[in-house]
Amino acid sequence: MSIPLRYNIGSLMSRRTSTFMSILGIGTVIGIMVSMVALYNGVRTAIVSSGSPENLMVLREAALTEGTSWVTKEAYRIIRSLPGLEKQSNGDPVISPELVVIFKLPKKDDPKGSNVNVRGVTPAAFALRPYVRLVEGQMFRPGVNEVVVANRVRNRFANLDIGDTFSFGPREWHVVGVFEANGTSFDSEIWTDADFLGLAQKREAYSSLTLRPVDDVAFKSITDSIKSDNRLKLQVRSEYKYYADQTQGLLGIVILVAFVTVFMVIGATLGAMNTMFSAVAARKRELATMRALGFRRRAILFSLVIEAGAISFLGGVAGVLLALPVNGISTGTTNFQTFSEVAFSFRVSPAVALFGVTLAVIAGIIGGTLPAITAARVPITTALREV
Amino acid sequence: MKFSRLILKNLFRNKLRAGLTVALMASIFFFVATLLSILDNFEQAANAGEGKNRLGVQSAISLADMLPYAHEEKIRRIEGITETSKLQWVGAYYKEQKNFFANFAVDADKMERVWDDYRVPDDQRAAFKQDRQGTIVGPGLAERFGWKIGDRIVLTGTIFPFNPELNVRGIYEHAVDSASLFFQMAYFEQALGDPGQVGMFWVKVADADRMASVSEEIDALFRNSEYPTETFTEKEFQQQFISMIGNIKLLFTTVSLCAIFMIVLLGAITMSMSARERVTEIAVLRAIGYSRGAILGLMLTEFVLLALLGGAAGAFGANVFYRFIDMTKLTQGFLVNFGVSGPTILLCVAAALGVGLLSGGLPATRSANLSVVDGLRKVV
Repeated sequence: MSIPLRYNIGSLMSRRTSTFMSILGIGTVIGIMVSMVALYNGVRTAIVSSGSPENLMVLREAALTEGTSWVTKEAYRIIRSLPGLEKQSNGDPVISPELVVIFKLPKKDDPKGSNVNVRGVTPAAFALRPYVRLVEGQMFRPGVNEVVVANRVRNRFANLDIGDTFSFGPREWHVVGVFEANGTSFDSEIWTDADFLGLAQKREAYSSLTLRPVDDVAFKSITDSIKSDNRLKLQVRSEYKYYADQTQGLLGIVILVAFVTVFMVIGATLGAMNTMFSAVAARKRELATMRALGFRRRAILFSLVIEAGAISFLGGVAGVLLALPVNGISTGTTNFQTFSEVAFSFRVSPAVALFGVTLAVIAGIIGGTLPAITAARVPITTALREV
Repeated sequence: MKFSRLILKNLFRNKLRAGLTVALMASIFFFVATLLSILDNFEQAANAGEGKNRLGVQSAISLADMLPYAHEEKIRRIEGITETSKLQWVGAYYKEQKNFFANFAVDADKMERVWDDYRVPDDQRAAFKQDRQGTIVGPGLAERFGWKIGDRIVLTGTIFPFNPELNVRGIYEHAVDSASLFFQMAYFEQALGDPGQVGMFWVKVADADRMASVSEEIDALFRNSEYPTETFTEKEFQQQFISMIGNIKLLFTTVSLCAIFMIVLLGAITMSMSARERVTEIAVLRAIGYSRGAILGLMLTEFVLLALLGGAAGAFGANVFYRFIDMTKLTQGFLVNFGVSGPTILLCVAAALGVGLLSGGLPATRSANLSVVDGLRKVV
């Protein structure tokens, strides 16, 4: 016969303070872990979601990032005329030549400043990424020193509100609008007219081309013709792959998150073990009485493991709740692949929450098993006699 | 001291529980010691060039912008500067993209005077200078990739469109940096077809007191030019990369404090358990004349000892552990010369003392204030 759950609930309630403290203790470690995973999730999402698997991205051979790549205007004209490109509503092919330059600008909390990607674009960039939309002010005009600034950049950097003027190098730039880009890495950028930026920075080539083939067949044929053209010396891969590769620059964060997770799970396991040993020691006689009443060892063992699982489940839930306030906090780090800032928000997604609770329960069950075995093994007579 | 036997006996009356508590505290303090040491490690890296009287000159526009060679002549004319050298971050990798490390092109004949803290045996230095494609590498790097003097290595360039083909001519020694690679600027220029621009100049200043004014002078010289400069001390230069990571100091401190809060809570559970078990015993002690203060002292000492044991085990454990673990390899060059220092151990042990006092305080006070009659009557 199995022991009713009511028994476990009853014993948890009768040791209210210590139950609460265990839940809070386990909750704290799980909360730390969930926050760290949420941090990683946020940065990763910001980078990876920037690329679509349907688009192709063209860079200089051997360049790892747009910042160190160049694609000549000649190459742009050749690739633009390849068959199989999707058309915009005005009949132009969907191919976006982009020039990426790093500006070092002062931040609100750090006058020394940080590196921001400034992207020179043409109207095709907006056709490729319809989620980039202006939320305030107006779009920059081509051929002049006007820029639009991502909302997150405006909030983190000094002097980038609409109407502000900032200087970079020998030139002044006017902020005319603010845009949002759906949490992608474009949310960490400043956009302006490609040709004007090239002129201002004395750059004759673009950094990259992003283009959209009409279908899979065209995807393949365009890839092949760029790769096989020896004049070009360019590499081509899906835009998604490009951004996924960027996450290599986050290795430090990955190691850190893995390290924290391992130790927090050890902490939760030992915590659950400690709690259960105390809980079991407090009711040795009670458990022996139950054995004497005819409950089997296995039933006692099972019941105690369930109890440990329940405590740590509640701990896991508490951990997620404790971590919730960090959800949405936006901050920035540097992607050491590109050496520019990535603005991101902590993301406690349902998957992250589930991960936290699951690890908590696993830790609880592992931690609860040993005390449960010890308790179930004690000979009835010894336990009953014990004062 | 006369109570030491009693305390020890009580400490291990329930070996399993004591062991578990110590294990829990030890693992959390291991964790905390590691986080603190990472912060330490960054700090150390930032301080590596201290006392070397070196200033780095970079484009004020951005990290990616370069400075014209003509700047160097003008800088050299400033009084108090004894030597200058060009330095270019090359950003190449070895064989696979994940084998990423610091590699630079440098003026071969000036390197020994600007970076005199990088010590190279004379014969190796001479061999390096003679070979245009020669390179001097750090001992950590040589170990990581199995390079020996005389080896030919080919790196893959990412920033510049050429793949450096180098001959290992020397292995340097340095107090902190063990994982950089230097090759000749002459080779770099040849491969790129004389770019005429470079990422950085480093200057050696004769007198430490002149550092600030020389730095000012350099920047003032180019403030209105097309290529304005930003001059850093070596510490500021390193710190700009550390601050790029984000506010890790805040992150690590918060995480450490939360983890310590957790062991205070779980420690309190164990300690109340242990106090509850001995209600009768304590009542007897009180009955035979022990004062409240004595009981409080006894119990608290016991709890604090337990926490100290855990804290010390964790921090010393971390110290020993990282001696045997190759963190450079494990973190792929992110943490070089990683170790847990004496002050960090001390800090952890002090925190453990706090944990013991906090989590043991309530149970110990409760035991001390127990009514003797109730305690004796109570059957646990």
